[in-house]
Amino acid sequence: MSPLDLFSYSFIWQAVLGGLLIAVFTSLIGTFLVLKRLSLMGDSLSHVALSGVAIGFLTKTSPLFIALPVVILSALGIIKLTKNEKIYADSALGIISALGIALGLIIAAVAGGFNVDLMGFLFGSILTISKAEILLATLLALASGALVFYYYNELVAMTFDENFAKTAGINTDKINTILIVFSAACIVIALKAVGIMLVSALIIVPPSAALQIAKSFKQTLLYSCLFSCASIILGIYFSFLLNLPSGAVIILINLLILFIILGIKYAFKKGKTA
Amino acid sequence: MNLIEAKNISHAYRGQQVLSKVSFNLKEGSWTALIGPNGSGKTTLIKLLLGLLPLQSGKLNFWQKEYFKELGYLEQKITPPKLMPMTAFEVVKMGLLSTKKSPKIFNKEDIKTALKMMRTTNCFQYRNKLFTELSGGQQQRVLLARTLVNNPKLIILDEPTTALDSTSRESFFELLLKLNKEQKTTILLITHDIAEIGKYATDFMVLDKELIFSGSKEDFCSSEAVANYFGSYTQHIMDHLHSEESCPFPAHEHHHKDKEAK
Repeated sequence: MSPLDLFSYSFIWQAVLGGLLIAVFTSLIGTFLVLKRLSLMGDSLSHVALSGVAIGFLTKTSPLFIALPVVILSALGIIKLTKNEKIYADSALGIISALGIALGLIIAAVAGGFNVDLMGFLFGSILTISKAEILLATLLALASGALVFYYYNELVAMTFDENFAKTAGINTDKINTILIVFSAACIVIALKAVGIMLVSALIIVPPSAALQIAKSFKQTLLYSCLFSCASIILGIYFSFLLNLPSGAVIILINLLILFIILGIKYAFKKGKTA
Repeated sequence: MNLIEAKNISHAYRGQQVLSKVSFNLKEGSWTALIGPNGSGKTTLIKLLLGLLPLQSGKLNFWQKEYFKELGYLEQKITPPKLMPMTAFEVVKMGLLSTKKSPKIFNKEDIKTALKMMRTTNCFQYRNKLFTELSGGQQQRVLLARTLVNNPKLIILDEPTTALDSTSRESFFELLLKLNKEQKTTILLITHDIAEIGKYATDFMVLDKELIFSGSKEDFCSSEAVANYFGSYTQHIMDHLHSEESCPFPAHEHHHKDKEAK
């Protein structure tokens, strides 16, 4: 079989389409999370997603559709915990993360332990993405695109200097809440691609690579999307070709892009100083 | 007309009082210097005026409901994300957001206005450079352009010249003076440098958790309350101000009398 023959399978196209949609909205939302120093939000919420997925298995309903409201409610809980300054933001993330894992493990045990399906969510299985999940990814990609387009200047101003944005009459609380809710949704659907263990990397790594070379905010969003999409296509291709887990390969390709960019930047800097 | 009327403003952080029953009026066209020692509640008061902190007690009246459309604010220093990919021009453009309706999209006129303001504040030459790659002084000029670009009726500045050298500081204040004189822009400025601001301010407010003094420069210069409050610390500053003929400082005389007595 030639390497290109794998694209003759319809499930591969389905995986590529679903993966690209996931790549677009994780990189759009991820750019703002990374710059606002909320990267760890992805990590915590992905752990909460474990509880949602486990509830899905326990109640024999679609895990992603159960995880979605659970993770969104947890995201709102984090906002509430940090808003009154009774608990530091990173502590609140740690608390929610621990709660998510503990509950997830207990519910998974009650639901019959770690079966193959649960493992699929832990480590991702983009090749098994269903049509309903693609539809959900499409809706979220469109909604996150609309969010970024509609609030673009407000989001940029808030990311740069939140105090200034408030004094300019921008409702920063409302926009931050919308951003966090979208981040939660983004994490849930991205579970399908790379799994609970690696989902935060899909949110953090492409924007981090883009930020190394972009000269404007729009460029950052564009490069972030491009790197993420490239990692999805190459990840699916190589994982299928080499019979490796797709989620891990996608993340490794993302990291490879980041390290190559950092290496080139370092070499240029070294060349200039020499 | 008063742009701001503040009545009995009090504020506490975790039970510790930082402002106590502060009342004042901010006159249109005035340049008010807000002075006081560290921890006296100056920044807290400014944050309350700007809506960055919730009002715990007292009352604040502004000249109009959507006052933020005609408001400019400049902090001593901001700390944007280290890798923030925004050019100086993009930063200045953000100053026009308060004038836009949602979705807030900039047009050609906005671009012209932003570039014109960058020329006025002498930062046009680095308009395409990333803001985070500029020096402290250059950043402050860009932020001043952002503050002024919406042609504000009131400008609030919190120790804005800390990062500037003496030449830049003077041109900074001269620009503000021009706005104050020609466009009747009202200025409220937190500063520690009484000697410098004495050349420009028309009004003074002295704050130390409670309002020690609020009034015109002339009243400030002759106020016993001011003289009593500042004591020997201000004698040095008074020496500078004394050279201004318009400000015959009684405290300065006290200072010399004290010296003579010793």
